[in-house]
Amino acid sequence: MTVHLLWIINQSGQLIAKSSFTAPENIGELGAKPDLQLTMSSILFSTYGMSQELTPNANPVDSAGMTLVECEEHNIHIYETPTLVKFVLVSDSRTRECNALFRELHSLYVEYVMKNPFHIVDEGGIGQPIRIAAFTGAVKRAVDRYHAAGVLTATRK
Amino acid sequence: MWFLKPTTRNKVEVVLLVINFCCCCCCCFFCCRQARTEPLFTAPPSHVNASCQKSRCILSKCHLDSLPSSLALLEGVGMTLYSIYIFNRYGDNIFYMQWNRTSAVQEGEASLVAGFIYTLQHLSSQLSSSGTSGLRAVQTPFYKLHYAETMTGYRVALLTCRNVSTALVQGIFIEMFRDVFHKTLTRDLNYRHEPGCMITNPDFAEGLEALFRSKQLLE
Repeated sequence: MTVHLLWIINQSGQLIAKSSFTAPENIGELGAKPDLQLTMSSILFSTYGMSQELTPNANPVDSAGMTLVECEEHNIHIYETPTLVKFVLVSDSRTRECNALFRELHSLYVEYVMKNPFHIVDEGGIGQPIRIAAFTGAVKRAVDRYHAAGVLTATRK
Repeated sequence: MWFLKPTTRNKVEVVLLVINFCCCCCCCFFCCRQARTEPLFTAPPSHVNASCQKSRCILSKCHLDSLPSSLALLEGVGMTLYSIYIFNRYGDNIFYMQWNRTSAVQEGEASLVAGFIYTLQHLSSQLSSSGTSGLRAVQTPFYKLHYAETMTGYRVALLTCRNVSTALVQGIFIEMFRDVFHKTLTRDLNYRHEPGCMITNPDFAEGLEALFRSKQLLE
């Protein structure tokens, strides 16, 4: 129940926000080289489109991209809003789903980013990174509450 | 306007889409290899990529009411197999088989699957502290893609419904490579492990289906 990393990718495929919640060594090379996250987030955006193309046995109009990538040490959770903004969470491999946390992060995004009159969402197809200190603080508090809830659950088990 | 485009795509557009994805991935890997700092304000993807993805996503939201019924159908059927791809170390698609699939196989789909699993494997190896590739499964609301790789470079991608457990399929993959693959291909003197050699031994397909039947994935 540990969340290591949060990415927010806009509809053009640009990384507009990233937050780390644990030590950098928990996410391997992405922690050692933070600039690599820009490249890997674009790659994840492309693979999201690929996963839609590969859907067998479905109405071609109904296409949904990947929601969970299971790796040996991590799980990558992806949540797409109706406005095509993608929230990506990298967690440990024991975390099965993060839907409640995604909804909370989406609410924080609406409250702190969308309602900010000085934040430019997408100017001529080029997105602006989210540099709002209140949003960053709120995200960290939400993830800390999530970690605390996870600890309680683990203790109860 | 993107929403006026027809939902069915002709072959040229699909091929362009595939080429576009491949170019996008190659470009990203090139940047990664050069170890340059990529600027935060990158050019947006091409019109075809963006418009196709946007149209599909928004239309999917319009059909949000149909999602529960689709998922209920999938849940009711039980465990379903769609297709399997096997690639050798050179990236060639040496084996393909499909079972309960109703959508047509798109042109170049094997290459798309190969690029897809290679990209995610690369991403997962960069996340892991040991540096090894640890990709196991990719889950979407409609299907689940299971992945395994041998030390000799053979990769298998199995598309199933989303009910199938990852641990079950990983065990099946181990049995497949240890028993079926070994008996029908490694010991086959006529099969050469070289670029472009397809698996034409019918015993492999029969052994694979027998293995899936023993695990109740096929009836």
